[in-house]
Amino acid sequence: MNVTGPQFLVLYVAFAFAANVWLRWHYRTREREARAGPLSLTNDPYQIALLRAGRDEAIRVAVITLLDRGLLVEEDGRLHAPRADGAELVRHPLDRALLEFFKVPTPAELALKSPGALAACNAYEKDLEKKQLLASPTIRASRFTPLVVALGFTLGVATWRIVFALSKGRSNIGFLIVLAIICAVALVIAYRKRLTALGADTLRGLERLYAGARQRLTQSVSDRDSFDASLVAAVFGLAALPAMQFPYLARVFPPPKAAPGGSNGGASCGSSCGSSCGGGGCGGGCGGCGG
Amino acid sequence: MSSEEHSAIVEPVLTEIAEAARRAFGPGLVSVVLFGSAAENRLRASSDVNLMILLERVEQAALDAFREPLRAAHAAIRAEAMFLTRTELQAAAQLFPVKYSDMRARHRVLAGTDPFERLEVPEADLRRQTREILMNTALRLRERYVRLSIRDEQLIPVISDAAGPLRSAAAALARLEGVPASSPREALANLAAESGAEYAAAVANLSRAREASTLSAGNAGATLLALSRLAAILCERAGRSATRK
Repeated sequence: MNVTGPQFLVLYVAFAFAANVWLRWHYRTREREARAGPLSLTNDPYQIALLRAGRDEAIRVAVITLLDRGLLVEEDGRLHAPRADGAELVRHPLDRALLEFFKVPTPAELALKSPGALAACNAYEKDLEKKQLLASPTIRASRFTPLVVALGFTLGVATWRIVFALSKGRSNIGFLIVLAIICAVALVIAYRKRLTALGADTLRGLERLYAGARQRLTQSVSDRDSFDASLVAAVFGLAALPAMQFPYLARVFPPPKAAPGGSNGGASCGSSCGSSCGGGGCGGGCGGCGG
Repeated sequence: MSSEEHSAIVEPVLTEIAEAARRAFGPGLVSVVLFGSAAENRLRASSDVNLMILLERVEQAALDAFREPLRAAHAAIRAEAMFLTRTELQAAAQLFPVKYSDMRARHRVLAGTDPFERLEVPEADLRRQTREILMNTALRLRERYVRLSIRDEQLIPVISDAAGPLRSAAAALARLEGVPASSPREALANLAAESGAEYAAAVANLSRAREASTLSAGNAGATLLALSRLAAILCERAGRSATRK
């Protein structure tokens, strides 16, 4: 084969890019078969928060909702549930778990480790997997064969070229090895995505659907509905809540400090993923930041 | 967000709400009806989406099953629902004839049967309430002028809020006179133009205040008083047409 080393590298980059695009397209096509209407998920803002950014975010949104409803009160960054009958005013298991957890004044961040809250989040995850919005073990199993095929081709071609180069006495194979590793990592990232293509589509649809609610939240104060605030926080993140109406937000959940090269929490996961997925495109969402 | 983008969001939500109503109320559901500007695809991004849910009977369990879809729809598209039983509908039309006359003229059935096919809105009731609305508006706008016109900008929301009752009353008056307009807004514009140039200008300012929440400096007071006079003129006109008949 009369292809020089540099020419082969260019071809390999194109080939690896195509393999990534194919794998992501394959997953998107298979995982968009189930369709849900725009309102079907919005019975539960906590579930939306978990879909967007994991368990920690669901717990944070629930804590802020309970504060907004007056069922939790904050003092110097510690929260507690002042009403003995608070549990009778809530319906969601996550709310009940948090009211139980905050029976004594406790720093808010500790709720992220509360066994009751985590158990409630487990149930949400199972439901999201059943709705095919999060990748279940079944979906991951269905993703495996295409991954093996894509890895087989890309690593196979690279291996063949390396063997060919070595057989010709050439040792300048380092860059090809690096490219092959990068390609393999990108393929594995696509495989490990937390959201299905349907889940990513659903999140984008929810952002469009509740853009108006987000805008109205900044405008109305006196007749504000706490459900609207929960939805906005769930879909767009706690940072979307106006500070004037939620003055305790920065004390209860201080904004994460940006660390170099990574995201620090669920609230920033959704916005940071788009730039980190690589040339083939992400197919929506990212591998998830936690939870 | 443009009106087109907003409409693209509204339609799928309406489809889902109708389906949610079918699931929640089952055979007890008579109709789901969209009425007002949404039924004519004249929604602005800040408009409410008005629904009437007509039932055979009111049952708490069914209402509870409908809570979350409606709440989500309210957050998404400002859906507002009115729940009536079939037996209450005619009485509601007699007690609120202007509203139900408008609903009959501008509605779209999303599920079930059309409840307005056989609904009667008695003319005498419609005329009486139209005059009540217009007289009330005239008096209220005068009071607001005296109380608030020291600061011109405080009159803008008052003018904007007057649009609803003036337009609905104008549409009712147009129907009573046998010349229905394509929309309440058009009805008011037509009646204002017939009443004089200053009233046509006041109604134009009304639309500007409602859409842009602003008027040129110094205009608000004169607009408010002109609208008050227009309401009084139309109230008298509604009474004269009854006498002529």
